[in-house]
Amino acid sequence: MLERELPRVISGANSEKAENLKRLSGHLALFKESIFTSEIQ
Amino acid sequence: MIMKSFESFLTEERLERLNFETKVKRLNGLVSQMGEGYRKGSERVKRLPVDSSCRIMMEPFRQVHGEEEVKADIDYVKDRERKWQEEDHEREQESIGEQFELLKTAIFNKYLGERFIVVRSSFYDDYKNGVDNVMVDIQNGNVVCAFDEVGDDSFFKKLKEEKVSAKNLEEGGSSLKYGIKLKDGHPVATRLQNLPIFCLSLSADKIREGIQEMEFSVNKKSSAEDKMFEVFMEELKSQVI
Repeated sequence: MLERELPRVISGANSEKAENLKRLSGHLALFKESIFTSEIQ
Repeated sequence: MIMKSFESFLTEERLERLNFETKVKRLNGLVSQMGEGYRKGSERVKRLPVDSSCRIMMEPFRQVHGEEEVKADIDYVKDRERKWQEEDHEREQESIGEQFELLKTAIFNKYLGERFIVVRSSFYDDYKNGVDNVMVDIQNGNVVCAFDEVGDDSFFKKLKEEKVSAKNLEEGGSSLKYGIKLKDGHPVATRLQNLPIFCLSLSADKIREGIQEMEFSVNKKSSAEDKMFEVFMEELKSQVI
């Protein structure tokens, strides 16, 4: 959900909010990569 | 005859309650053991500042925020707890909430402990920022947060989606004043911002059932725990992707 929603919200946000959301997006990408790996499951 | 069966019912109910209370104590013991492991440290992750309930301690942050500020935050925590006690704040709900926090801290540590540090947030971040758990990726140092809801999945689904969405998309994620990041395996006490936050939920009945059927050992997992972990992972997946 969050991954799908973020690009839309970032594009419509003012610069400060967009920067915050981009940082959030970076954390999310790393988390997605590590949490859903077959190694853990 | 009626009196006798009523007495036996009471005894059975009492025994069941005592049995459950014993299991909650064992769950506390298990989480405390996990906290002890973090405090002692390991090859990969050095000593973490967590207390006996696996919660990030605030005192070691004096060097980050200053003596006065940490003292003020500890006072804030004490004040909040005192007010709750005075108001007799939904004690049963609070206790099941506490049990859920212990339960998922234990489960995530069992299943994800090889890759993630999973601890409970400081009392300050719990009360002020609504964060219950903090997960630190041991390999890349990335941090995410979780909060929880005790409630029936279907009823809470919409509410949960709204809360998660608002926290992440409107507020830019969550903040931790008492956060931890890793540098070469050493914990660094720091303030963290723009962390993704997710919600994990379970009904009160499922929480009780989970505790009843749990293995109170760091290395053993029951089939009930397998199922609960699966549910949590599905919840995370639906919120991430």
